[in-house]
Order: sequence, then structure tokens, then C-alpha cells
Amino acid sequence: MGKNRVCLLLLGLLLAAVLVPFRAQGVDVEFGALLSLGNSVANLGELKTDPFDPTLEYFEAENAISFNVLVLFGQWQLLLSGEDFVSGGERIPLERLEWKLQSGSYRRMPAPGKNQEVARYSGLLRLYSDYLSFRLVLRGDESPGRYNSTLTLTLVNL
Amino acid sequence: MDKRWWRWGMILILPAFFLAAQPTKMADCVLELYIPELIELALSVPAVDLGEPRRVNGRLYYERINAVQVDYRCNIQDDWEVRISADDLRDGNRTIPIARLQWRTEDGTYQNMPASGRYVVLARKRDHQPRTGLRYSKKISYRLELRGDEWGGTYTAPITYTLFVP
Repeated sequence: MGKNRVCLLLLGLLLAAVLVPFRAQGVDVEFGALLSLGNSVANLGELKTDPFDPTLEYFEAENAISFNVLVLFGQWQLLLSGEDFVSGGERIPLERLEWKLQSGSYRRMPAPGKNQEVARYSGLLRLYSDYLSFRLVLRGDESPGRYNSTLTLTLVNL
Repeated sequence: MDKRWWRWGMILILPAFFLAAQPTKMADCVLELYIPELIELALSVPAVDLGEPRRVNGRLYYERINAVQVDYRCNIQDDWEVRISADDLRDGNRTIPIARLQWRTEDGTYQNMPASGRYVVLARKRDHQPRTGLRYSKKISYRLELRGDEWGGTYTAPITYTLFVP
């Protein structure tokens, strides 16, 4: 194998390695955009009671998760999906969770496995930062326990 | 010439393949919350005055309709129940057995209070299946019929509502 061929092969492999998407510590990079989360765990805090309606109990975490989207080029869509809250055999449907961006109003989560658009981003070398807030209104008949749900943010190239 | 095209083609095609292979990027986060055990019991009033006696068909009795509202809630999965117990009505050394006091819920009929030291069940978890963890209320009425041999005086009796969780 000649020197030129070896150099070309190495160059090709190097380019491929640079452009392969990678994920680490809540950061997902791909050629064209970068998605990073400020924190990978968010606690919804203490159970709260509505002062005007004591029967209304809810959890709310304002600005619970921060995220950044760095757009190198192109148009991107940020989607949100998740799973039901689970505590042992007990389950709270994901659709009862509400979310909002810092400047938005609350919207209900879709059913598990379905995506909901959070925002669209475009431009050339632009950085977008925002926070997600969450609210979960209880019906009152939920069993006590520690519940977890995994949410997924997905950046899709349009 | 052909070889050069092939080389450059490989260099361009290979990265393009990786670019096109995964057009999305994802990041996961975990939301966690803790629902505490809730055991709540509240009475609408701390004391009930049975008021003035009434005479109907020659019988003298006191009655207070919806005298107290009992709010209760328990989200624990055990078989909890709300119990009523009471001590005798007393005025100094004079007593009227508490079993002569009658009570009922809004949709129930009068029944005698249990003797001092015993209890009756006002509500239990299985009454509220499947939504047992919600807050429920019952309005309680009291009635005391006099026999006529009671001594005059102001009688009082503590009535205790207990949310019992085994």
C-alpha cells in the first residue's frame, strides 16, 4: 500500500470519527447542532396546596431543567417525550404532567412514546438557552411513594 | 484520473454516510417526586350544643342535625378506618350513659353510641374503593332522648373521632 493511499485512508477515518455523533454527560453533538442539558435530574419538590382551593394539590418545579442548543447551521426541531411516573407497581400517567418554557404557558405532555414539539431553531452559529418548568396536579388518590419518570429531549434536523 | 476520483469520492462519501446515519440527537433527564403518606382528620366544630329540648308525642329529646362535619383522608394502602368513641355525659357526679346518645350520618338512621371505652366505625377504606386516597366528609347528627329521671344540669361528654391505621 502506497504512502498516499495510507494518508487518504487515515484522513477519511479521521473525518468520519470527527463527524460521528457522540453522547456524553447530557451533551449530544452532531455535525450541524449541539444539544446539552444543564442537569440530568430534577426534583419536583414539596407537595403544594392551592391557597384558593385547598383540595388542589400539585408539584411544581420552575426552571427545573436548563438546556442549550447550539445551531451551527440548518433548521432544527426540539421534541419532548417521556415515560409514565413509576413507583414500584404504582403509576402516574405522563399525560398528567405539564411543561412550559420560561416564557410560555403550561401544556400537557403527550402519551409515552409520543413526541411534542418544544421549539424550532435555525441560523448560523447561534446559541439558544432556555429552561423547562414542570407541574403535576394530583387527583388525590395516588399512593404515597417516590416516583420517577425519564424525559427525553430530541433534536431533529428539519 | 479514475483512481483520483475514487479516492476523493471515498473521502466525501464516508463522512456523508455518518452525517446521514443519525439525523437526531437526544438527551435524557429524570424527573422525580415524592408523594408523602397523608393521614388527615378534621372536625368542623370543636364543640356541639344540643340546644333546647323538644317534646314530640310526649317524648322529650334534644337533637342537632348536621352538628359536626368530619373530614378525613388517608392515602395509605392499609385497611384504615374512622372510629367514633365517647365517654358518658357528665355534670359533676351525675352521669347519663353515652350509649343513650344517638348519632347518624346524613344518609343513615340513628344508632346508639357505643358504651364508654368502645367504638363504632364511621367509615373505612373499602367504603371508598377505588379512590381511597381522596378527602371525604360525613355530617353527623346527634339525638338524645330523655327518660325523665335525669337530674337537672349541664352535661358534657367528649366524643372522639379517630382515623385508625393498622
